Amino acid sequence: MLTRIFADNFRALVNFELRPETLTLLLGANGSGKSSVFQVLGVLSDIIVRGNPIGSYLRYSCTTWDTREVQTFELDFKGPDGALYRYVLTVRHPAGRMGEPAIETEKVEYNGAALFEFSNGQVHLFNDEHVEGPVFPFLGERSFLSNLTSPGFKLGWFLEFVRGITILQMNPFEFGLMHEREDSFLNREGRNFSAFWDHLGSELPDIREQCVAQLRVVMPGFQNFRLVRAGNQKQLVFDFKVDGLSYSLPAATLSEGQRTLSTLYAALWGLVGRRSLVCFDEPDNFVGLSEIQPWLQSMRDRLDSSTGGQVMIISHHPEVIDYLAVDSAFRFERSAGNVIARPLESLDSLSELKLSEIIARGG
Amino acid sequence: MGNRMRCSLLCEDVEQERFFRPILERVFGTRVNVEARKPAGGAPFVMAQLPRLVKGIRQRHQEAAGLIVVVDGDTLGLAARINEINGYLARAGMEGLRNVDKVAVCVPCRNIETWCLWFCNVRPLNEIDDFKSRWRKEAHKTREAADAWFAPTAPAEVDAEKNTLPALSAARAEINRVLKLV
Repeated sequence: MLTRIFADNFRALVNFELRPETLTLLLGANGSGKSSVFQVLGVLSDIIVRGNPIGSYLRYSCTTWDTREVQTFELDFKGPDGALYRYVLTVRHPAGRMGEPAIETEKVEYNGAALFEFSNGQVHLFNDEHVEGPVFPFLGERSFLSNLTSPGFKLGWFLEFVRGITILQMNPFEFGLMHEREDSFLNREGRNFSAFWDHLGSELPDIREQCVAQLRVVMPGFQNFRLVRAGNQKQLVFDFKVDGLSYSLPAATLSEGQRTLSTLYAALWGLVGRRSLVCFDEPDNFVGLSEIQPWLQSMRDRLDSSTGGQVMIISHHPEVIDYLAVDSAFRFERSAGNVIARPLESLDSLSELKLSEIIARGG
Repeated sequence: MGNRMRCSLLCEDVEQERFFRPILERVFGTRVNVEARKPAGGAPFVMAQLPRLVKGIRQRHQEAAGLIVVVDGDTLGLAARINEINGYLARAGMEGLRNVDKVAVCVPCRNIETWCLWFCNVRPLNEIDDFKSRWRKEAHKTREAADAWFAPTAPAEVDAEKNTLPALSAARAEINRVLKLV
């Protein structure tokens, strides 16, 4: 489980720390820095897993009102054996922060002992007993971690966790409605949702059935999904039955809300508990008022019944706030420009008003 | 969202939701809406929400909807909590709870963890002492405990429950009463 996120000199995050739990809600005004936290996770995941040049993610990402040239990121994880894994990345932005950024140091530690280190232009590899192995030069323009083909068990666990970080910000206007091949992942905007449904159907039929069963409850008249071939592409079709009348609708003709709802349930059943960490950025957009809480309840049940799943949700919606307020919840504020995440316990617990009402009134 | 029986669950925290929601969904087939909660709100926040929700249920008496209120007995116990609830309603200018109201009040004594331990066959237990520290927060055990809620039991076990945790027997009867009305 991800237990700590630290970022310094990244966008509005200066000396910023957050300690998420299994289910964590982030709330706060627009521009308060919530999405920057998801950006940190997305950027680090891409740097570590894909090995793309860090300049493509981090150039011009330093805090505007800060003059330091060094950015720092840290992630702490609780491993399956209860051990503390720590990832540390420092990035230098030379020439007054206008030059090409480069990794200064990069480390992975297990209970304080090294598993991987890059410093002074040298990669240091360690085995599971933390005995140092090969040392060789490497450029700091990208992470070497993505090059590791057979890491030890401990480093492998870390890499697998990072690979499983999934960030979703559903945008039904972007959903692709045809696909050629199935996808085992759902991309950030949900563009490949029909390819992901295809994957669920062929690789995880039990999961798909459970998902369909829940959608029958929350989507009036919904019966099932089908994939219909159109040349070398496949199209997702929804079958409905209302008042004895059966009809089929291609995904393209569904409302944005129906597309979002079906994709949220697909993400819930296909990703939560199967991926290490799933981050939903405003999942309540486009979804009807009465449809939000059943999805959140299913989310809680899914996390309770899985081992190792973790979810973070950004939301402004009162239904989400009032339902998740008793979980780990943080309110984001900008203090002198810098972002602070305060636990919600600090809000007025004696007031008769709901938490969402207090927040709506500027409390 | 279908025409299933609907229940609002007004409770203090996630542990209470984990216990009651599966019972209502799986045993009675109801759709459950969990009412707003607040960090550190506890019983006072539940009490503060009660008049508004009871009023709503009384006004919508023809709908297939009920209200399940869960508030730990803590140091007060079952009878004092019920009195407290009726006191809150009286202060709001409302009549106290009646048998015809579709409102079930469940008062885990001393708290929900005592009931979870009971269904995990932990003995001895009572309604006075706080056993919270003995309850390890393992969701699957909570779920098993909830499933066991309406499992057929031997007469001796029913007697043991009535004698040891009378608030548990009372809650079982309350939920059955209300869901028959709904």
